[in-house]
Amino acid sequence: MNAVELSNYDRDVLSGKYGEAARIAIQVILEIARIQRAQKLIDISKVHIGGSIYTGQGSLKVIESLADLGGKVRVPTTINSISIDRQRWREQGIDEEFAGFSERLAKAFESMGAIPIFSCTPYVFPDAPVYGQDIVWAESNAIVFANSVLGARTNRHGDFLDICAAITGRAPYSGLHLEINRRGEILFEMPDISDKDTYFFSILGYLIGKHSGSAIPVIDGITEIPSLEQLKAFCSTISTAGPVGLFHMVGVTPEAASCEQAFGGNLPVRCIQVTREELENVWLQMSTGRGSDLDLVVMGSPHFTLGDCEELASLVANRRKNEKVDFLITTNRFIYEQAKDRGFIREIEKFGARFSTDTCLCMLNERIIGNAKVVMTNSGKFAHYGPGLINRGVYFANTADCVNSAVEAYPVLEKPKWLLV
Amino acid sequence: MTDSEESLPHSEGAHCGTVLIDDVLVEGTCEGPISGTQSMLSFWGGYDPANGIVIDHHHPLCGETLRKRIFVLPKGKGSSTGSAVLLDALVSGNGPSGIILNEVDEIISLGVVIYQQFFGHSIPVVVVRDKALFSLLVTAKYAKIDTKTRLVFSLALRETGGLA
Repeated sequence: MNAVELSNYDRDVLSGKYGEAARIAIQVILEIARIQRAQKLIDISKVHIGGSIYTGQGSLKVIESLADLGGKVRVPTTINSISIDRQRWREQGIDEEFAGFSERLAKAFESMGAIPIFSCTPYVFPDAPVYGQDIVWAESNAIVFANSVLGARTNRHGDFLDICAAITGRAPYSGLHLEINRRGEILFEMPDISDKDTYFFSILGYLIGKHSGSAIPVIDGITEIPSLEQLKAFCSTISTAGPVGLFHMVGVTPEAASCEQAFGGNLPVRCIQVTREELENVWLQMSTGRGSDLDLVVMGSPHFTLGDCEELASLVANRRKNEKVDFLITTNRFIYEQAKDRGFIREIEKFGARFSTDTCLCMLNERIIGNAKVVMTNSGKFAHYGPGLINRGVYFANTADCVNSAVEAYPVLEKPKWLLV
Repeated sequence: MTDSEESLPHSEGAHCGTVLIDDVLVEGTCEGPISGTQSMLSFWGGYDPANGIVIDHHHPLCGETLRKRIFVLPKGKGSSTGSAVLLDALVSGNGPSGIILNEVDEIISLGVVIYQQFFGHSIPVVVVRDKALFSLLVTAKYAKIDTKTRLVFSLALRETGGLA
């Protein structure tokens, strides 16, 4: 068994000098460091807590114990989406007991000094991590975004390690914190495709995540810089389909000015030609909805950005959804307020859709959606997880088709333009 | 699942084998029936900690319980909340009795490390790196994990049975 080299600070924390919560936290970090064969721990300067979703009594007890033991965060720490909308859970018919547990979990993190942004897109907030910064971020889409798009460095950490890192300011020096482990491994060559939209990037991410396994993919042939929304969609599906923590997109992401740079001088272990046929297959596979009387459209996994709000506001202008269809969008309060100021919320609510903040689509379950049988989303992440969470198939369509479907009250799914030759 | 598959002996027609553990992620011993898969699983969104059943509709084990099973899978994937879901399953008594992986997985290990630190209980989590040996374990019916000897003893029975 390898021994992890300890700094003087680490030794002090282990001795209990910084309190019992910190002592336990560093023990957990050292166990993970041993598993990862890390030689030492490093300082980290930001944390995003993923474990704010209520999953059961066990994890609630762990977080409340750390808070009761006097745990306090040492570095700026933000909190992911939580299981309830703090302002609206009663009107949404959420079970009181469940809301109580969810609230206790959020409070425990807040009492340790974490900032309640309650969002799965921490990268749209001010003070986002910067190139080369060592951080500990949880939440799979945010991990990929931080590593790949921002060039910050974080491993694919699980819940609990995030709060342990926040309390101690330390993390194992392993995996993606080391330059040598950030080199590309598999090359994906893109076909010549025009009219790429956010929907395209969701599907491409899913395809690449499926092929990559634990290897780092390099995508070559994306000729236009994708938008924030397109990158968000791509990050969310690449990490849903596989255990991906980092990708390089040549000419787009900061560690991939060229294909050579992305591979760090190595040769690709595999080369995969992305074809229209496979994109079409993935597109068909991801949509699992059945039935023709649409009940519910959901959007906002990961959270809606200002750009998403703007796009939706323009698509729904002067239209009205069918009364039979419920239309739910999740985002954080930070974006909600900006979208309100810009008039997007008013436009979207006039159409008949409703917003929920603090929480996200991943918290949906059969209880919350009630009798809704036929469900549609523009989120590739929810298209994947939805069937397991709400126990029914989910139609996966682009934003315009989701809006059209809500107006018509039946699923409209047009073949994407980028699949038409 | 039949009752006889849960219980011991009857090893007629068994192919048994001993496999060396490459990495011990969490120490412990356990034995029991295997739920094996070559497909990665995200515990969060893929597994219900309240009853121990796989709920990912895209996963071949969908609908099967992992409760008191030795779960053999290549690696986890997806959500980082997997650690919490695994912990909650273990705390509520619906978790697996041991986990055999083909690659190191931090998110899975972390759930068990927390179980150890905060609840004083544990299950073994080990890695078998050889693809062929790992595949044997995926299709085996019953196994015994012992991290002290660093061995997995497995039985691939035709129908039912356990360790003789």
